[in-house]
Amino acid sequence: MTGRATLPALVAVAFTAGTAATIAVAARQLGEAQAAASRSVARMAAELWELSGGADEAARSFVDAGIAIESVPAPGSGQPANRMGPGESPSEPGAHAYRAGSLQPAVWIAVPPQPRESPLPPTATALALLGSLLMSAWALARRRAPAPPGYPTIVALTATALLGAVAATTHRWADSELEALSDRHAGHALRAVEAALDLGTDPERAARVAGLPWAASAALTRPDQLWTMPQDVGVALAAIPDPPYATPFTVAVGRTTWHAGLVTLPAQGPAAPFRALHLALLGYEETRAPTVPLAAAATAASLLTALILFLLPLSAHPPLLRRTVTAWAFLAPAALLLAIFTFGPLLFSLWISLHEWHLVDPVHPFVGLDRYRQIILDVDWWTALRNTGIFTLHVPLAMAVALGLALLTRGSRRAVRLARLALFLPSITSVVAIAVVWKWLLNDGYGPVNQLLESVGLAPVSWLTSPEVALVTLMAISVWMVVGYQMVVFQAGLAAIPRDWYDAARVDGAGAVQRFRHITLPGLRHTLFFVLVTSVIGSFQVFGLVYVMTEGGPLGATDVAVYHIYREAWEFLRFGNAAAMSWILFAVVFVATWLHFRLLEGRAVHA
Amino acid sequence: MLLLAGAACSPAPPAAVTLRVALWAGGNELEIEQRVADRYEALRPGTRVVLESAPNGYEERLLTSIAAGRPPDVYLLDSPDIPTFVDRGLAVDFEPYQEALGFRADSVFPQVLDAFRRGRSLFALPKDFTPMVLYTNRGVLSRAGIDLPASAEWTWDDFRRAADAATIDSDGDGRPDVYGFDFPRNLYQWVPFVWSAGGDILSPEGDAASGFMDAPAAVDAYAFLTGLAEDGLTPGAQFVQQGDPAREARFASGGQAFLLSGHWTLPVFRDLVDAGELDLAIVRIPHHPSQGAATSVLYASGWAVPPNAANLRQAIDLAGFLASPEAQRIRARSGLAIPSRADVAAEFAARDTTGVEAAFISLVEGARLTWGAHVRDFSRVEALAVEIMDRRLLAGEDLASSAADVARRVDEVLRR
Repeated sequence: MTGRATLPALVAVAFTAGTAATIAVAARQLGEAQAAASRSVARMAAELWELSGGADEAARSFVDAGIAIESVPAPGSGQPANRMGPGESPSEPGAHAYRAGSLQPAVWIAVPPQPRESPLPPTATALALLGSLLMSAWALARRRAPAPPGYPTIVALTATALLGAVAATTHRWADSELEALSDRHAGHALRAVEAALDLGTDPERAARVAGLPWAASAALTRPDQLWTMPQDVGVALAAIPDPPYATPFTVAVGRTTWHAGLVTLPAQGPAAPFRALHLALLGYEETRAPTVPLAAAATAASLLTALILFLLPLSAHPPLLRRTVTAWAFLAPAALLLAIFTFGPLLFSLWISLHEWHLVDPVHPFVGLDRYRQIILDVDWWTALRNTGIFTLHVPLAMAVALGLALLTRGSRRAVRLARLALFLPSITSVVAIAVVWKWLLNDGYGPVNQLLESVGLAPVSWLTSPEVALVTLMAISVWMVVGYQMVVFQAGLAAIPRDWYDAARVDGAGAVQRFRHITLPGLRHTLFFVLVTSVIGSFQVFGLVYVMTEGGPLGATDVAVYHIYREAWEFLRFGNAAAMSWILFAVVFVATWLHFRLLEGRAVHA
Repeated sequence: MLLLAGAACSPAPPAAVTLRVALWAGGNELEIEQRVADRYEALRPGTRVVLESAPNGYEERLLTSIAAGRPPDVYLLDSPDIPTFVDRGLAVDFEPYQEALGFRADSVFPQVLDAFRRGRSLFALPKDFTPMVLYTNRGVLSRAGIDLPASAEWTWDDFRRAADAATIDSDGDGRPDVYGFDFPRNLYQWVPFVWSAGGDILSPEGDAASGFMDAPAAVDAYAFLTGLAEDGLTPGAQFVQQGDPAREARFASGGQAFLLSGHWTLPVFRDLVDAGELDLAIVRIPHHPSQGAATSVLYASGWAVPPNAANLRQAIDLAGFLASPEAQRIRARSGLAIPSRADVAAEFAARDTTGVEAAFISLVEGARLTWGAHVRDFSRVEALAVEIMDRRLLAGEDLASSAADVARRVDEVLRR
């Protein structure tokens, strides 16, 4: 391997490819936004064509440049009517228009692609070229130089800084292009609504031509009555003292910018109850900003460059270099999987927890740590955490029972083997199946457990319907579920304790209790620690039993953290809350586990 | 070569369009919906309809598909989900297409149509609906020596007397073998009792609960219902959303006189009724003695189309068919809900010799839509509201104070 010559060249190539990819990603995203805007304009033209009863001029009236209107063959003419759909071809954005009331397309309206101020980001392109030249010059200079003794920090920092600068300037360019696009789009929407009103259309229908969230001016005085426009946007629009008419303007709502516009409504006619129509467009710079792909491209290029630079000092030792590259190659698939399926979702949930996030809302305003503050003040969340903590208390009990069973069921007799099998079965049975069966067994009215109690003269117990008893019931069922697994693990631990120790203790006159205390327990210390930590983590994540058996009730007595999080996300659709609660729970579990290690493992090691 | 040339000259087959429909049907209902889809495919050659059913977690799946940019072409919209989807612009307005679809608004029960209307706009084509009614086991009542009230209207006192008489401990073990009723724990079950006492749970604008959910009329309703449970006229409450899973079996087997439910329960009893093993009557929910009539709650569902559907006009056409009289006639055979079209509902009621369907239709008038059809985040309100009576039954708390506390917390939810 000629690593000393190849690696610097690879650094230059990785850097150049990274800057090119960064710019290309943004340009592609911008192209998609332009195509989407053009399709939207085409749909407005199609709506106007329909409203006007098929007048081409109505469709052209609001578009700056010329548009193409082409008849679509009628159904049965041998060609499929829907030979092209909206957005099928980004180079020719368009939409079908229909005769009024018809569901068969009549014409295809194509609009020219929305213009772009500049094809490429000028500053970013210049920086990319400059950086590529620099890196190439450095690579050339290194061709005959010996391998550096240490990591070339300055080169790595320069490459990272340049990539960051390229990404930042590209983002600024894309942002400004998208803003301009949004402004043009808002202008088109205003003109389309005006054209629709000129055709005598009522305000509601006219507003729908624009395809944007809208509200009539009368509705703005009653924010709760707003229609499709988000309430806070309506409130912000209503608060503008003297808004311009027929000209797009921007309004900031929280940290989000909306492009808005007002259309005056005629005093008479179908628009009579309203004075103006308000339209709002969540700017493309908000919905299609290339922040994430840009950051991903620049980060990936920086990491790749840094990794190659890391290999550079090793080029003096080709076997070591080869081994390192081989090791990395083997690690790469697992690292990639971890990055995509573990760290990616983790980071995403962190991002969600800091934003107002709904699955289908286009805008996700930043709320920072406000949500965490609200959750910390939320009594119900603390109740759920407290219940989770109490539930976790079943772990030591389960371990004690499991250890006892492990001691009792040692050996290979048939009855012992059957007992082990019976005890282990709950561990391999579906939690849902277990929960359904126990729910029936413990029913207040017809459950066999209460019937049994009554048959022997005892009072029935409200196993799942009493706030004082329900959580204890779930803990008992959980003990029953986990002891089999823990028993098997303990038996493996017991098998590892040398038999000689017990024999020696017997010779020394030690009784059963002394042997258990001085040989069995110390011999099991690592097993006990493992079972304790994994069981505590598992009990913090309890969900299935609660979901099926009690739904967190009665009166929140069994509302545990994960079930609480599930409801926040999927029942109340408050994903931001759910994500923040998940991070708080993570912190609690992390601290609990750390305390276990700190307090127990150290003691076990030194025991 | 000749074969190839022949193939090249033959007219191209029409482009196949696949339309995906999201719904929550299961079992027999899904089979019937498939029959409706098959009929549409026969009417529109070249169109394929794929039913994507999710009987559990429907809203999760639907929202996820929309968020992923792959929404279904048509989806079933439940009344409590209307604000979530319509207020976010996730449903196409059918108003311009009504004529092309042959949809006649005046043929639909007006209360059902109103669920999906905003001004002139119509955001879903109604599929079917049900009011909440009282299923009555007349066999149980006659054994207790009680006649159903001749008038359609009856008061809480009448109902209480009937439930009291029906509750019987025949074997003397101290536990009733027949109950009058079962405790209606969930808001969707008990809200008609609040309405029938002249109260409501939210302000007319739907923006406040204090002064409504804790008003005397509402507290009267809570007291009436918890009184039934405290006096042993209902089996022990289960305190879970799904309620008592044995309630329908208990009612059908003569262990309970009254059952509060919607039309969806009727298929469970249909065979028993047809075989003469269950003497079933459908009656109106009783009202407070101070009021003249009861008001029940009504739940409806309709076919909606997302604006970004891949095949928008075909999707609108399909939604039109799914709501058409033909589809409703096929669907009505499942008996799960009442067809939204009055004429189709009347046809099926006329064919039903037991009179149960006619009784259901007669109760539609006077029913009103669930608050969930208008108020966003209503699921949170529902989750909080169950606490009012739970706290009474489980902790002996005063109903007025628990109602006031819950109302205050609901206010916070609505303010957000």
